Amino acid sequence: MPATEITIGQYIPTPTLLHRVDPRLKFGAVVIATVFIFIYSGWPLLAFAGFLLALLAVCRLPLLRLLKALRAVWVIVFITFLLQLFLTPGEVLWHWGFLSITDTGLANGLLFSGRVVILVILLSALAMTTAPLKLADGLESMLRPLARLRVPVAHITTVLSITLMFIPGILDQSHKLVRAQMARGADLESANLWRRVKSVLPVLVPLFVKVFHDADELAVAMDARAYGGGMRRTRLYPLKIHVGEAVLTALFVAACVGILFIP
Amino acid sequence: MALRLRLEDVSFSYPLGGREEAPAISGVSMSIEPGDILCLAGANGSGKSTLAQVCTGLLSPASGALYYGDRRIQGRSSLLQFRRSAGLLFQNPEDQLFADTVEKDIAFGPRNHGLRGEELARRVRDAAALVGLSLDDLASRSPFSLSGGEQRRAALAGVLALEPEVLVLDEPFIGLDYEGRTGLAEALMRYHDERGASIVIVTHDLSYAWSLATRFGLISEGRLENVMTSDGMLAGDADLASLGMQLPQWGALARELMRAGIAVDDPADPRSLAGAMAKRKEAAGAGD
Repeated sequence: MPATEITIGQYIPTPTLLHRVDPRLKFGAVVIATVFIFIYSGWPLLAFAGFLLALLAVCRLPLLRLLKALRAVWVIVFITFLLQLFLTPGEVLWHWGFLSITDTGLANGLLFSGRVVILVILLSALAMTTAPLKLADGLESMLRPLARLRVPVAHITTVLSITLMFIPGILDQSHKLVRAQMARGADLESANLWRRVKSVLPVLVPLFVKVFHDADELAVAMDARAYGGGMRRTRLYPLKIHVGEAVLTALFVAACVGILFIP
Repeated sequence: MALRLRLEDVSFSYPLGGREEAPAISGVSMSIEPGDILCLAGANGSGKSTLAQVCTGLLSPASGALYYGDRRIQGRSSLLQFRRSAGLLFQNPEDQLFADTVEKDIAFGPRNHGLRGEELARRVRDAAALVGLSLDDLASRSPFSLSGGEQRRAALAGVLALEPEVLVLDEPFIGLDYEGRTGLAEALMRYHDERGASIVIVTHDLSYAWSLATRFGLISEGRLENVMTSDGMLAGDADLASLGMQLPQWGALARELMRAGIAVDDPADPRSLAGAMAKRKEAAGAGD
């Protein structure tokens, strides 16, 4: 898969209903939904997957692009499935040498890999609809009480927001490097996995050099603009939760709870 | 020897996510003749870098057609074959250096094309000589230890070692000092004269490409508005200001002199301009 096709964790600036929801509500809803994903099994899990996809479709999120995010984690999903399939005891369905597939292994394989898939879709939807800086602002707001326990919340969120801010730049730079090395004959589109792995080094080395150089320059520039982490900083656009957003989030959580009662 | 490169009604858009797209170039038709030195000029964000990548087969047009010689570039194998004939020096190419020595970095492209042994060594030696880098001094040095100008020349050598028939350079002079710019310009002309290559220089600043280019293509908002010679540019055949560009100061001066009926032999040569201004002064004195 070319680097240009990695869509997991990317923010899409197209305005949708979910883009307008306060990041703290979205973050909270994702945490709650994650807990439920690991409580559900069988039909409730399928119902939640259907509900989630329907909700994202109603909110006009590009479902195809969301599903493309799975291409980056298919190896994890596949390994999860295989480990459950072959290593879970139960009634043997198929047997060959030391390998055996059991009924419980098959059920668990589908269940656990299904959970990973739904989790990736959920997190991708969060990343897709929340600008990195808003996500960092939301986290800072949620972590603020920890500042009383002398946890360096301001430093942590500054590091986090800068890291998130760098992601699109790093992706953009990596796309440019991929094309630049392709222009020098590097085979980054080959079907041959080994040739592609070999071609990754000429992209990674200059990418790291550039990222460290940019990070160094940014640190100097921030210092020159009197950055003092830990001092009380104000926000240009303070976060505010509107009634509609709160109602939407409450309905989502209610639906998560309601699915539990599916017989 | 290069062949004719022709774009026919070419458009390209970048996906924004979902069904939305950002059009970068639309309906571009032009041809680059063998041995041509074409300057593609436009303001920032006009689509010239995208056009450069389409011209080298790194981006496939969403619509329209690309021809090299009589052959249409269509499909993966045809695209890969065309990429061997075209070379692209990206903007800030020093950012793409990666090998542990200058020599290995220059050899990266030809190695990818399957060259080994004496032919590979010759390509590296010739490319380094073309850009004025001494391999005796620099071959075993890390490219990251070179000066900015040397890094740019090493990156250019990495592209020239592919011996492209069509060489496209995206803002090659940006960020270079006088010595770096003249060294780069000389290297380009040497390559052009020795190989008969076609060269496309993509820039927002006409001054550095002026003395090299035989034709100028003006791009605005993804469209190719005009293609003309330097004489046409000086004659004011295009409204540069509306395209977000301007003539170099000496070009504007030459244009004013020509409008006043004074011939200027070489607008980029200060002595020629001074001579023309002296003639104008004489003419004005005679008029008094």
